Amino acid sequence: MAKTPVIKAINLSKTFKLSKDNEVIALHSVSFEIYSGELICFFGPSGCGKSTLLSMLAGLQPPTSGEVIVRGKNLATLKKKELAEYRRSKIGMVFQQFNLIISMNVLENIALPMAFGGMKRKRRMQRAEHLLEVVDLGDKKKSVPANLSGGQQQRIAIARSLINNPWIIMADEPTGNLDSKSADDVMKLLISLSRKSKRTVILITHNPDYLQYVDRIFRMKDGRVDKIEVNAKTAKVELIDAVSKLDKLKSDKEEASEEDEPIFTSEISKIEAEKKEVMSGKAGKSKEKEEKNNETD
Amino acid sequence: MKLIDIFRIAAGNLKRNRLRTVLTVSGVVVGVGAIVFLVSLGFGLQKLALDKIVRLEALKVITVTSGSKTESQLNAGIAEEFEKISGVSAVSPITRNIVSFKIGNTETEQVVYGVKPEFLDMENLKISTGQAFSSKDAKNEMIISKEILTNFGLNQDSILGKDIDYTYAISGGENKGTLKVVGLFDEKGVYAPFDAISGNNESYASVKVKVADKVNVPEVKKTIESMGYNTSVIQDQSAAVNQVFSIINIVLGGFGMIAFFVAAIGIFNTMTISLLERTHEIGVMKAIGGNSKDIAMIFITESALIGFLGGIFGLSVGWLLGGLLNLLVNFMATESGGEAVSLFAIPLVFGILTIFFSFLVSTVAGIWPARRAAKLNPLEALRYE
Ligand SMILES: Nc1ncnc2c1ncn2[C@@H]1O[C@H](COP(=O)(O)OP(=O)(O)OP(=O)(O)O)[C@@H](O)[C@H]1O
Ligand SMILES: [Mg+2]
Repeated sequence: MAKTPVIKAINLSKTFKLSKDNEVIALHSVSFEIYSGELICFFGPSGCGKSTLLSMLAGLQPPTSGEVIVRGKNLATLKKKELAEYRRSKIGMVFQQFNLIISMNVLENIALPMAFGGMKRKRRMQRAEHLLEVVDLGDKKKSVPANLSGGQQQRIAIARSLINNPWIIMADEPTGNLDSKSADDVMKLLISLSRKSKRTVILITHNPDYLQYVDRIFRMKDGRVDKIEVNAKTAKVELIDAVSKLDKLKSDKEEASEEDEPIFTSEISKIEAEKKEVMSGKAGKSKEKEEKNNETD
Repeated sequence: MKLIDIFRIAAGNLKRNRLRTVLTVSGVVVGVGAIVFLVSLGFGLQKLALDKIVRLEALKVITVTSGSKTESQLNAGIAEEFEKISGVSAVSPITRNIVSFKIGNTETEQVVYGVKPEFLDMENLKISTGQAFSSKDAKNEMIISKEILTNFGLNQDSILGKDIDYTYAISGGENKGTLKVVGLFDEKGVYAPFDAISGNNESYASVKVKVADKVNVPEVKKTIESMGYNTSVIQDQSAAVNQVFSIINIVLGGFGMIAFFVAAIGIFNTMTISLLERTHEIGVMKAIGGNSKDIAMIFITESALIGFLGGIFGLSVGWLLGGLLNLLVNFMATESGGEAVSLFAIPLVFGILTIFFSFLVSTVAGIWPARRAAKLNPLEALRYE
């Protein structure tokens, strides 16, 4: 299988027209590549365009110009229905405000994207129950969102994002509404999701404390990706090399990934072993279960 | 998305806003109930009228009255000619005379119809006390309206079997005799056998022509008309009754429709408010992979459900209300010695149609909110409230 980036952004720009002669340029021609299994963080001051960028990667809004290519497919070529399909099964979204459906119980919430996909209820519920265990809320099957704490709701939202076994998890400030203890739980969960498989996780956070756990930091400012940092703490030197090599090869797209990617991913698994202490015991526990599930990736 | 899941979500949303759902459904119940109540009253009255009119025997009878031309008089000769028309089984002339009756010192004048006894049933008389003429050759019997009992100064029990003297004027003299009262009925008038009361009459008030087979009625009718006489048959009347009632039903249904129209606006209103409230939620649903069609279907299903529930309950309420009123009316009717009648009737098809109609209109009322919901931007999911 030819190895291509999971997500490739090419000259992405977004301009919001506020009135006739007043517009906001939220993104200035941003380009980057994200590889399978990476844990990426967009980091930057408020208003620098992080959410705008993420929403375009998620197919929630089209760019003004430029392209988003996901596994070789240009999102702009997808029909409305295909775009919904993309959001449903290739992407798992986690939001700052949890965004659970209040009229549905916990299991129905988790299973909802699968219901949109026309899956049978029995199958959905089985998978939802399993994911409830993964996020360590196995005892909350019958609860409704209103009866859960913020941290618990966010874990439910993460379980929901996983239901269709997506390639990519995207989380826009998932800890923004949480106290520090719940925030840590949620972050541990997301990090473990990234570590235990090649599932790609793209994260937006304002909390610099979490940066130490991510593989690469995309530092943003005024609608541009200023700098891409490879995290020395999580990544080995070889990984740093690999990534910088990749960056150099960016212009030469055809060759780029074929040989480099295996090094990259094998490094990830090495890091994974080393980073065990990042994950708490329960994250480790859920890892095994999750792996059984990850037949596609 | 599977239909059953759309249904589940829609039902869940209706349950979430229980009070609003109940109120909106109530609006539909009132609308549908009003339609059902009013139209079933129309149907009931129609049925009542038709039952009164339509008797199987009566349908074979043509009533002939004299035409405008002076030569088209009804008399014995003409009656014989009617009898010769093919398809005619019997002919009965009816005379009308003012007859004075005398019982003791009491004297009273009444209109008396002379009929052949076997034709009495054509007159649609229901004997309520006593009996009809004892045989078709009966001569000195009569049946009278209850209304005129007081004129005779007698009550129901004492008049039955009583012989009453009568006299009436004929050209160049008068006829006399006695008639025994054998039966009483509710309608107006006095009936006596044709032979007893009309022996010398030259012209008849009308002639009843009985046709052997109902299908021949129009043909016979035409023949008689071509002879210069006016005819009427009961079928004509029932068609007219049906026509009148179809108008009455439309008018009554129209009143109900106004209430239903208001209810439909209520549904539209509820769905629109619901849409505004759920903007964020719908955005989330789209962001996590719901497609526009599913979102629209959820909305449509919600308003269709409101209409369906309203239709069922409205039908029940309208039907129950009609039933209760019927009981009340019948109670009062039988108390005052009348006949129990059924004022309300709901044909099954009409009931089913009403529910379907309510379902349909509600669905239509949900289309616009549903389309707006489907068009909502998934970016709403990121918006912070
Ligand atoms: N729908 C919109 N209409 C107009 N302007 C918008 C819209 N969405 C975003 N913007 C503008 O685009 C710029 C980037 O916004 P964005 O929400 O992406 O920032 P952010 O980095 O996510 O900020 P924060 O950290 O506060 O969430 C801002 O100036 C914002 O005002
Ligand atoms: Mg943001």
